[in-house]
Amino acid sequence: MRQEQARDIGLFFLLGLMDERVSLAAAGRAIAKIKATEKSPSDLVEPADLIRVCRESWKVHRRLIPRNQPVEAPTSAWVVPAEIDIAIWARYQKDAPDEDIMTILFSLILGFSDVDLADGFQTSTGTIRYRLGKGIRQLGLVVRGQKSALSPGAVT
Amino acid sequence: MKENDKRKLTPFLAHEMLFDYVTDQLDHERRKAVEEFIKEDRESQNLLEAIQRGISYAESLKRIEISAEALDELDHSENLVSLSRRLARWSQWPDSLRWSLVALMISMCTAGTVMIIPWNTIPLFKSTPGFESGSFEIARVQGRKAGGDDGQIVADQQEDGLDAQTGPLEGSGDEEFAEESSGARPTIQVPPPVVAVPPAATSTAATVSAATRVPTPAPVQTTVAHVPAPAPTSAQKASRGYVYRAFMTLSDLENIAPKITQQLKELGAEKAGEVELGWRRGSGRYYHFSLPEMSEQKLMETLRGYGPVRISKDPHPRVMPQGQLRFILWIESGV
Repeated sequence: MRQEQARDIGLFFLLGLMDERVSLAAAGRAIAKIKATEKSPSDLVEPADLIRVCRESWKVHRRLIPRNQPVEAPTSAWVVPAEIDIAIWARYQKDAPDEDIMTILFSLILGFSDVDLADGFQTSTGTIRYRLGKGIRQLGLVVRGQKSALSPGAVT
Repeated sequence: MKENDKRKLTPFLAHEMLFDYVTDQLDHERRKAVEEFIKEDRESQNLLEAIQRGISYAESLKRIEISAEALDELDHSENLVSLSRRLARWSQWPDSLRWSLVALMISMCTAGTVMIIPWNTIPLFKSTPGFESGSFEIARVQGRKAGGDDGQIVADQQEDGLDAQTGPLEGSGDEEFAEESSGARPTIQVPPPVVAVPPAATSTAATVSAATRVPTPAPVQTTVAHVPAPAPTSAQKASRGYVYRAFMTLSDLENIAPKITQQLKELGAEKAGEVELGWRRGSGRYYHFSLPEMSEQKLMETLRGYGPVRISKDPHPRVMPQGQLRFILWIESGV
């Protein structure tokens, strides 16, 4: 595993769980699991394998974070540019479905392809596109401050 | 299908296709239909703007970086399986451990090779006479038998001549003592070939002169080279002389040394260097002598009577006459 992939995994959990302690524990577990199966430390891990391992670790550690309660923001573990309002993401992440959050993180932030996501999530690319559309629409409404303006038929 | 017969998109379908519309994933016909729907539907316009904002915001999140400490912590994450796999990988071992193992392997291979090779069967090593310095070794000195060793005899005599010419070393006049003191072996002069030898020389003269080894060998040179002998074999050509080196440490040496000197003389010992038997050197006594072979056992018994004797038999270029042995005995005064 290369360091850029370790960075991707760390960012995925920090943004996805928004709790420094749990996020680093989940990321460390995922990285260790990938290291246990890789042939050489210099090889790139297959994206689908990385997504699958991260998803498994997410499911384990997501339970450790209580919903609708304030969490410890990962202030020391990441460097957020001043122009980014991370509170918007925190509001979105608080209520959005896990699968939507993971899909947005892997696709739009970490740049994995829909095919890799479908393989990693063991679903179809159509489902991935649907989750992406739904999630990004909800995120955009949060950015505009109109989360309640979502169409009843559009967001589940 | 005619233009008027086209089914109009429902709001649900149009909204679901907005993300694909923004990311340009629709075919031309669907794209045109969505564009027409957006023009007439206010909610679709709001959602389109929300999607664009959402994508823009998500894109901005790419710029978030993980701190170096957290990244380092993540990079070193291990579990039992990954740790064991890493340790099993030769390339991941610490350099010091890898090189130590390489050195150990080379050492073991070298030691194994040395142990396996039958050195005694290799002629190069077989020809060199060996001895154990710590052991008590009694061996017979092969006296000179062949006339083919004439060159060696001449070399010995020239050495004696050199002794006489250069004078005493270290004040002893004994080349063996000088050799031991300096730790260096004397260089043997290669003798010139002996061409003219008087035929009237006798063999008895040779025996006597070589046995006494007095350091004034000039008269002996002409007589020794003419000893009649059978043709030398290859083993005889390869033979070399020997000298017995004995060491003792005795208390009360001042009283014992004269007794030893006397007993040596009684056994037939004659001094082989220029110094007398029992020559005093510092706190020790030095004996360089030749001895009849038959008295060897008695000599050992005599010396052992005074204390432990360490003796070794060393190869030496000087060959003693048959029946004669050469000894260098050093007795150190001590407890």
